[in-house]
Amino acid sequence: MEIIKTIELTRMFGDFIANNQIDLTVEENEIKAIVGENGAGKSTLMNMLYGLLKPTAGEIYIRGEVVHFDSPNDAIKKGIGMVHQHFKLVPSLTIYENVILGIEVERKIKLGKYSFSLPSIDHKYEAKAIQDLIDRFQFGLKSTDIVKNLSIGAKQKVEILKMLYRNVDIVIFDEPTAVLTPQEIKAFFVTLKELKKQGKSIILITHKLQEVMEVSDSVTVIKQGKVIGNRVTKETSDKELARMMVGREVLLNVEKKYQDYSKNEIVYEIKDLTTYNHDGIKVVNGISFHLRKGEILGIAGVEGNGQSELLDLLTGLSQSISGKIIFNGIDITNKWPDEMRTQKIGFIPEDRYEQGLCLDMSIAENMIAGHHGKKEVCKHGLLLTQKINEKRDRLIKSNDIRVSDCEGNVSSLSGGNAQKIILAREFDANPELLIAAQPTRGVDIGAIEYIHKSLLNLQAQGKSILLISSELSEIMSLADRIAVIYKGQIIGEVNGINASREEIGLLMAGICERKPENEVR
Amino acid sequence: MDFIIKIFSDSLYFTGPILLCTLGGLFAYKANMINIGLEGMMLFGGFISALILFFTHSWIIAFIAAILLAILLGLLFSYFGVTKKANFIITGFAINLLAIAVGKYVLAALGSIDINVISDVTRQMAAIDLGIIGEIPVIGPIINKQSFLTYFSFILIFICQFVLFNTKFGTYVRVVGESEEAAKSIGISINKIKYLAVIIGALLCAFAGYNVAINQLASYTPDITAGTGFIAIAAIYCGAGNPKNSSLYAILFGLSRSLAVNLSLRIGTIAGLLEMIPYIMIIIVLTVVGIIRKRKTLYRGFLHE
Ligand SMILES: Nc1ncnc2c1ncn2[C@@H]1O[C@H](COP(=O)(O)OP(=O)(O)OP(=O)(O)O)[C@@H](O)[C@H]1O
Ligand SMILES: [Mg+2]
Repeated sequence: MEIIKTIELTRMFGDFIANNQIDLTVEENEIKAIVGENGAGKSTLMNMLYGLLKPTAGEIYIRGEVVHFDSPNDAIKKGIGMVHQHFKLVPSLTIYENVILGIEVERKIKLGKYSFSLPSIDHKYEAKAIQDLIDRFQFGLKSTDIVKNLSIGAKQKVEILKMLYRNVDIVIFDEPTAVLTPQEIKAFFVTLKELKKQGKSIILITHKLQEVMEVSDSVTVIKQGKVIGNRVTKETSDKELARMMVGREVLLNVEKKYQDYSKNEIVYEIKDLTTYNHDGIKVVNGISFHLRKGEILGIAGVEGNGQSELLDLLTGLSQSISGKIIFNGIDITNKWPDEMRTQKIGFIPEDRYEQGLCLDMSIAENMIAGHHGKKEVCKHGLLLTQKINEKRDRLIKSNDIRVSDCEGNVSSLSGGNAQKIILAREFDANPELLIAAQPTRGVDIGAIEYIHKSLLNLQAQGKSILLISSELSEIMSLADRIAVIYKGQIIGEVNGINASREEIGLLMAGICERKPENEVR
Repeated sequence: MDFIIKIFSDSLYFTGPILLCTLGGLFAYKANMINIGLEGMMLFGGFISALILFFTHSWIIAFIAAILLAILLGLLFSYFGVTKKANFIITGFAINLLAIAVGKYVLAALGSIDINVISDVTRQMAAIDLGIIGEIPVIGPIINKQSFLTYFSFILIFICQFVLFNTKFGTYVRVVGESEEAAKSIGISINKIKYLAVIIGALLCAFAGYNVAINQLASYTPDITAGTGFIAIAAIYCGAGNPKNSSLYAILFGLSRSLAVNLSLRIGTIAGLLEMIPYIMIIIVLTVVGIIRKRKTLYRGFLHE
């Protein structure tokens, strides 16, 4: 039976048609994958199904019945839940408080046959109810833990619990795996299958086609706001889907020429960096490595082993209590980000909305962010609007960024296109060293190909790149050397050219058999 | 000994209004809207209750008038600060200026320098005798003979603590302040919560104003608040909006005000200087709190808490 059916569903933003007469059908108890390029309109479509956006035209049918949602609450009442691309959790509250938010259980007193509810939340009952739910789906969490201390994978489970507790039977996932580590993704698929077994219907948006092939029952491909094809998963391949999405053949893995860099001069050297996090825990513990001219060094590791904190140190967002950072012979330890930028270090931060972009500012302003003091855009302390706009138009064109309104704010861009703004900005500054963290998180395959090519291109110009990524295949296809971080330390290093997944996997799990061979000093 | 008792007894006296403003303002603070207008809301409360008491000779009507005006002010502040999304610092500032201006205007119209209501304020209104409790050595004389609202302000600490952490409303206030996105996604009406948080603050400020103008001074002049609303903001900030912690700072500021008053009574001519004690105290406390918070982290710049 069709559990969701949309008929000519259309959504416009001003003159821009984000969804153009979409006909989508989801069968009961299936896993439906939706794929499409960045800005194709996937999130827009889901937001309409979940009541966050109102359709401009067209109808939505749930179990054959026409519905009009004013808010997510209406959608939830009809049994539709959504786990967003960006989590909507309250960090300082516990798991059970987050799950039960909005439908708190209050204490009751009984007087004879009457029962009154008191304006007092029954924390004990809530914690137990949620723990039961956690156990039923085998999520392995403790309901009284505080959300801000959880890993990303666990946070996602909390989001799922929120929906399960509200008894939804259709769950929408918007790019659930973009932020997960390979291990967490495996666990997530187990969860998905468990949900399916318990009778839920699932809509899954993802850019990773092998995931589509692995878990989905059927696929819908969207391009520029239109449905351009429906496939049964068993009868298609990732190649075909890629071609449908992008409209041409796509290289799923870029070609890389390996070279010997060990004679090149060292341009970037990290010695014995150490720092504490907010809770006083040593999260980076004596990390040292170096980067030679023209080389790509990848840092792999299971998320939460100090990558983010190391990145904060390297980009000047936090301070090291020991050690040194030396770039081209200059000591830049604990320098501020702008000072690092003047030394020609470029950054691609891991959280594009938190650190990379200012959502409520225009595309043009974001294009020059961090470089607004440069002569080309600023004269006598005044910004040259025309020059900035020219730069914006040039970068939008050369990077194929899909924008509905180039005067608009970055908040109106799709996730992948927002990432492209950062890339365009950093590449355009022509850095000697690029520190790239999760550069392809949440971008489509066409764009991944483009970003990977750009990185290799930068390398070909003799620039060095430090690549931090939780995407092992990305590191393996780009890096010349791969260092593995574990519990705040570099536990081992392998050469990119003959690295094996197993070897790196062992290191990532903290199992170190041999000493890194080519460590200098 | 008597002097010490006097200092502590006066501390409670001065802490009452500060506490009311602090506990009121922290709801808005927790909902991520700093209400700079606490001072003005308090002044309005004192003004309207004195004015109404002066004309009607009924403290009940005066009290009700203060409540109604507070609700009105809360609605006004929220209308601009929440619905119209104006800058709420400016909105609060406007309320502060308005409070002074309206008071001065009415005084000018009445052709008087104050609204004196001493004849309508009974002993019982000014100071409640606790009877047997008042006879306990040392403690008794300190806590005895305060006004009802002063006692109420201390009980309120526990009520606020409970409301903020154990009721739906309190939880939603914290959620709205911490993550509007989260609130929105599960259908909490953000504006409603913010309106309520501000109105509660306005009400308690009005109580503070009533407490000062009627119970304590039995008269209104435009300077009766003497920065109480701003001191409350400092207390809220230092205690990070936690009712218990913020109240501790409020009590500390009450104590320093009492010190200032009592010491200057003894010393005489340079007494004026001592009146600075509470304000200097605030600067010191804010600096120390700021430094401690900063030192705990190796992170730079602004981070969400
Ligand atoms: N609030 C908005 N105002 C204006 N344009 C918008 C708004 N939201 C989305 N758009 C535009 O609609 C188009 C579709 O966006 P949507 O977020 O649905 O893409 P998507 O398929 O989810 O992409 P991604 O894979 O990058 O997340 C984009 O071009 C985007 O710029
Ligand atoms: Mg999207």
